[in-house]
Amino acid sequence: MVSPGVVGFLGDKISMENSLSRVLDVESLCVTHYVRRTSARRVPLHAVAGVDMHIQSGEIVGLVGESGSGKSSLSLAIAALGKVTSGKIQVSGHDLTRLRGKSLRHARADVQMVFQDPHASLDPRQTIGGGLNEIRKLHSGRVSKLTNEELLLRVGLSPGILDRVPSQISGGQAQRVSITRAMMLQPALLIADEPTSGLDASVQAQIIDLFRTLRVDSGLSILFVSHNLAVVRQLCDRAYVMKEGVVVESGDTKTIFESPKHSYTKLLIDAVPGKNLKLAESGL
Amino acid sequence: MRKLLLTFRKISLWNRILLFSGFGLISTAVFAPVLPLADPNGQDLESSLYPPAFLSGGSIKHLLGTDLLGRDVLSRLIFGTRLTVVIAVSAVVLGAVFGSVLGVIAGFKGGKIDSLISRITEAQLALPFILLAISFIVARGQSLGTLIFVLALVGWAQYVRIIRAETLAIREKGFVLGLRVSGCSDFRIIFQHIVPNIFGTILSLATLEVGTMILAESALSFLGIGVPPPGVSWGSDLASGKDFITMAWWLVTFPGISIVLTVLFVNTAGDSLRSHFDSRKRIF
Amino acid sequence: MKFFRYTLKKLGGALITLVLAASLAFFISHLAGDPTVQMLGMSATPEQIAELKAELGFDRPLVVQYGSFINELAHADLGQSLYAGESNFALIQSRIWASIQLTMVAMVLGVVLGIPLGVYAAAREGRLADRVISSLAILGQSIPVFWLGLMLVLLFSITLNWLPAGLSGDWKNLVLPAVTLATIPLARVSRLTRAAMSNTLEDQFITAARARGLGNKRVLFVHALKNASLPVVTLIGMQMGILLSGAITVETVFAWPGLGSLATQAVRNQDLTLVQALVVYGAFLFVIINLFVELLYGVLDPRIRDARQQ
Repeated sequence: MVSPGVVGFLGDKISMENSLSRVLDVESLCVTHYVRRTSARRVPLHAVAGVDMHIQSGEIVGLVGESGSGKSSLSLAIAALGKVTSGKIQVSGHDLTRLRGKSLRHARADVQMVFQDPHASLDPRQTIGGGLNEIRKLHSGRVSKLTNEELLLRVGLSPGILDRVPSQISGGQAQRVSITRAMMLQPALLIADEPTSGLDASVQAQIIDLFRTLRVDSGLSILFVSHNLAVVRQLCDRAYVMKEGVVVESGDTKTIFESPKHSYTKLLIDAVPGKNLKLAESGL
Repeated sequence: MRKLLLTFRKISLWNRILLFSGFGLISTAVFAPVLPLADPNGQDLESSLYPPAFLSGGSIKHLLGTDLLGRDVLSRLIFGTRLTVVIAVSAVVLGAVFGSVLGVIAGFKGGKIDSLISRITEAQLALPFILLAISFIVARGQSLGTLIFVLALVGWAQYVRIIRAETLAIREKGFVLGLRVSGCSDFRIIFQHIVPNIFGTILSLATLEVGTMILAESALSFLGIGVPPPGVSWGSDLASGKDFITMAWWLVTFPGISIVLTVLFVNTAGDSLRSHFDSRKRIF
Repeated sequence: MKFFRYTLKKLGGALITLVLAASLAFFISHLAGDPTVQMLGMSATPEQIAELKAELGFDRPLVVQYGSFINELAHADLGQSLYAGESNFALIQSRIWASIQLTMVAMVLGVVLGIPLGVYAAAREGRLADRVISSLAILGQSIPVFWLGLMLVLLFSITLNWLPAGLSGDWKNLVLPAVTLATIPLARVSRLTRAAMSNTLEDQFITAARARGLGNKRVLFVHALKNASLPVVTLIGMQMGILLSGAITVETVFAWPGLGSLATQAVRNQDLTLVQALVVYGAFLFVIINLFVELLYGVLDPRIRDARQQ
């Protein structure tokens, strides 16, 4: 169970000034990879072909699409982890893609990311506590003032795992650790790339709950990338649907699901097992 | 200390034997000067070419006989251990460090740097080892330092390929992305995170190489460009003994047996070490 | 057409490797400065040193020396022997046949004996025969090959007097050095064959058990052999480089008039250019053999050609 923090996840008061500003502003983003199809030619692959996106403070926005739609390239680009070919990305007003070296590393605290495979995102040889301390060292100015124990408690983990290595904790626990590592930097935006795909259904529900709490407690904005429509519908205020590098539909989640405009969106929705979405609504 | 004792309990009988033998080998090498042995370089022309004590004509004073200059064979065997071990281990460490660093950089950075490093490594591997060693030593003059350097030069290329593959595998695993998003610099990622994870592999490779180094050193000493006198080396003893093979077979037999036994021991110990690491690979 | 492209690619790669290797050889031997001091000995006067330097061209800046080195290489000129004054290339050519003889025979022996031994060991996996063969192979890789040569001479020439140790001009001379040298590929090939066969046999047995169609043991064997042959072919290519190194010491032991003893001579005479020429020539041989193996691969296994295209 997650302890509801009255003063916010990180022990700081929620700043009201930013509540109406844009946390993420993406304009005409293109990401082109060059792939060797044959030994002679390198073919350009337009993973992201002109995408516009924005996220307000405190929103949870979904990014939906099948594999190959470009959503991973998009999220990596926003997190300044992946290539950007052209276009603009602004996180809380700064453009991370223009930064290099030390200034980039410091600015990363603004946009954090958790990944699909919880165990693969952690150094197998480093203890959980060691990892948290390392982040503290790297961002000494900006990092949360809470102790490691307090941080873990906020996500529902026992401080006992601080001395363990990733192989000694479960997938759900590892994912919470990743979330802790991200949240301790007090980011404006958290990108969650299929964070629950590798987890059991019951654990999935807990993680989803955790995201909700984070939004409430810390004014966090979340970009939730997933191919699981049921979860997106549950969690997100708005959503973007991507196909082959472009956004085919976007808007209010409720509207998208009840009256999808684009044929592709309709296809995706129809493909969800159990058209009776009432089940999804009540259960999770 | 307690951890050491606990680990010792877990070691099988076979491994304990190896451990003790290794200890014995190293102690003999270290304490050789204080053991009741004849001076390995002490010439006594009157005792020239004595056969081993168990044959007629031999004497108790020289258990394994003497060479042309009356130097005691047994003593030379034992003193030969010192330089052999020092040279082989130094060369391995030097080569391993250099080769592993290059391998990690090649695997981590990819692209042009990777191609460059791979090309140079391939080129190095194309050069037949002894010829390479010969050309360097002839140019530079014979010395202990040169010898170690040359051996390291010959060995480093082996590491690059394997370490590069390991690094690539680690990159695939994804925690590099996680570290990057937390703000780790490339330098930090390589030295604090990747290297500890491949250390086991480096160690395994290195143990394999020690045997090869011993054989290489003896070959070079045999050709007259290895250990400079008055250093005692089994290889050079073989070279000088070769001319008397018809009348003093012991000069050629015993140094060779020493080489074989040492290499066998090192390889077997290396095998055990390797399987020990393999079984614990996950946690390590 | 695809094969032609493949060949061209491999050729290009080989050329680059060769140039890089030769350059490495150049820089390594010139890394230590020039050998004139070494050549003239301790009592040389500065004038003598300077004179020799100029005569041999060591006073030029390194880049210029490198330039002329590459230029000469392109014309198949490997320089002059510092000691004998003759063309290095000619010296090498006069000895190469003897080395090729020795190496070829050793390689053939090693492979012809190694493969059956490996197969046999795999067939009798875990049993005495396997353990003996595997242990012998490991032992073989722990023995300095020149010492083995000496021991064989001790046993067969001196004690038993079956074979000559010195040069007597007929095939009998070849036996001991060839057998000695053969242990290198023998050990490796038998170990590798055993491992490859063992793996494939496992797969085959499992498949056969599943299909419940007994396959004749013989059929399974032949299949396994085919699969196992590919890595062995690669190994043979790689072994040539190691054999070359081993041949140097073996030739010294048996006074075999090949490149190996030429190298030893060069060492004794501090003949830097000859040594460098030998290194380049050695690299050349290695690269050629490798190229040949890779092309052979392309012929034997079309999948590799096409896979490489991606």
